[in-house]
Amino acid sequence: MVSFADYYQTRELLQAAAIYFKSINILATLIAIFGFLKNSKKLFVFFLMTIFFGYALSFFLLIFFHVSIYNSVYLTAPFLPSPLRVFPPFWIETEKLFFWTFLLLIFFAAGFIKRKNLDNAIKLQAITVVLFLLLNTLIDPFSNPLPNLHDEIKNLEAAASSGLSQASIGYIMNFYFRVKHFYHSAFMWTHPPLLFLSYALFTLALPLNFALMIGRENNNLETLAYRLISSGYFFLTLGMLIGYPWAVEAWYGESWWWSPKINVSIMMWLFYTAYLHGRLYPVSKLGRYSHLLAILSFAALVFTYLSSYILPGIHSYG
Amino acid sequence: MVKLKKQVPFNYLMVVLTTVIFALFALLFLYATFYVWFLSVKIPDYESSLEYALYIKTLNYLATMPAVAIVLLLVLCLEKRTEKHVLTGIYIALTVAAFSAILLFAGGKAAVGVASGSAILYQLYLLFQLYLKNEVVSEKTLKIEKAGSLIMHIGFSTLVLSWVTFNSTPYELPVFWLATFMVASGSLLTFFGRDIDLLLRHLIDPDS
Repeated sequence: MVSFADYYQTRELLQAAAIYFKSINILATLIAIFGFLKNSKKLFVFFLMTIFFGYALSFFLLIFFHVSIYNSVYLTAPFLPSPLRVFPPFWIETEKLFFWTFLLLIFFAAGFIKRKNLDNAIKLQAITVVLFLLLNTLIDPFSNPLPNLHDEIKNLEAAASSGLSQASIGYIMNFYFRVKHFYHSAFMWTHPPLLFLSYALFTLALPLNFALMIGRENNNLETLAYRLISSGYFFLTLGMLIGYPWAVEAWYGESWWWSPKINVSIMMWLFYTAYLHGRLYPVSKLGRYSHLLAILSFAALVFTYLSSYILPGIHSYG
Repeated sequence: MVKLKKQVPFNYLMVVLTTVIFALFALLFLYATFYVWFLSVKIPDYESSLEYALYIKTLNYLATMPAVAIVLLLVLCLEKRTEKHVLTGIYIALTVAAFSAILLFAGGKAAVGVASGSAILYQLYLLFQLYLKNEVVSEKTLKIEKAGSLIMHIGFSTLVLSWVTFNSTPYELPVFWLATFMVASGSLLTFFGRDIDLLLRHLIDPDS
């Protein structure tokens, strides 16, 4: 009989933290609204502290959960090549949006600390941050932590407890290789985090480009938007490139190159590349279009993110 | 009174052309995405269908031209830094002629290989011109940023070579990693050139 009792216990504890997490998001949103209405720097700093420490504690809880998986889910059997402990990354399933938001908050806070001023850029970015907080209230990583992995662990427990039938050995072997080549792959620990780093930077540039698109030219905002996008572009390019050898290795013999997720990812990259080229002439008419391109690029980013859930093909979770 | 016709700067034209080609290429990918989506709804096991095989073949063919256009643009993007328009014109004419002939007789893989291979050689020549002969034309960017941009563009040409010509050969991944290194280091120097420059100055002279 195999039991992952510790894992189940920690998972229940994590589920209880969902209320705390939702409360942090709602509280921070309210503080931001009051801060905006009163144009108060003090309230803004309070907003920043709430989200920063609230999310830091949430991330700590997630680390605790992942460590409990590592300590509880231990695979060892004569038919396995070697014993294995499972340590899932922090950017899968229901934790993806949280990870994106957490990075967004770090960059947002860093921007405020660097400029030490409640300027237009920070105010504009705060609107996006609040939208992400509200999104996290709807899709949080605590209410149902890692649902697919949870099902796999439950099935694994059932397979291990039912005796070593052909089917159960097959299931355990399958799970073992999935963990080794997916969760524990070096590419898994580099490719997605680099992409999320870029997503966070692009997210902070979005409200600035909206403001530049509809408002007057503003050199400070324009330069900041460019700095954010060019930094994001570096991580995006590197992240996408690191995915290539992984695809060659994992999908050998499959026609993955023109699959929908790859298509939309390259489309997003091309849009951002077009923006960076268009931005070479910020004072010309093309400069105005480059803000539009940046907005379109972000729309392509959202589509790319959602494509895993709605489009068919090898990156699909649907 | 003689009215002077305002000349459109070459750089500006290149930027517009690059932006338009990238946007068009992006639309090709968007079309491909929706086509597969449509196929998946229409045919249950669409990946083993004849339509999907035909789609892959068509997309491989359709992508050849924009891929070559991008490779040529990679050269033009660098060329604007040296103002060697005549030489670049000759290079592009020769590449397009060679590309067309090879496409007819040896297929797209070899044709893209020749285009990207010659682009790398020409870009290296431009790098040599710029940095060993010190022919710097722009005052707005730092030398470190220009070096980064050149290395990044050579990296992208090498990526095309790895993906198209060396695809499924033992050279594919080594060439890919070399290209990735060039793209990553080039991007770092291009986008963070001023920060790196400041850091270097500070390291050399902490009081600066």
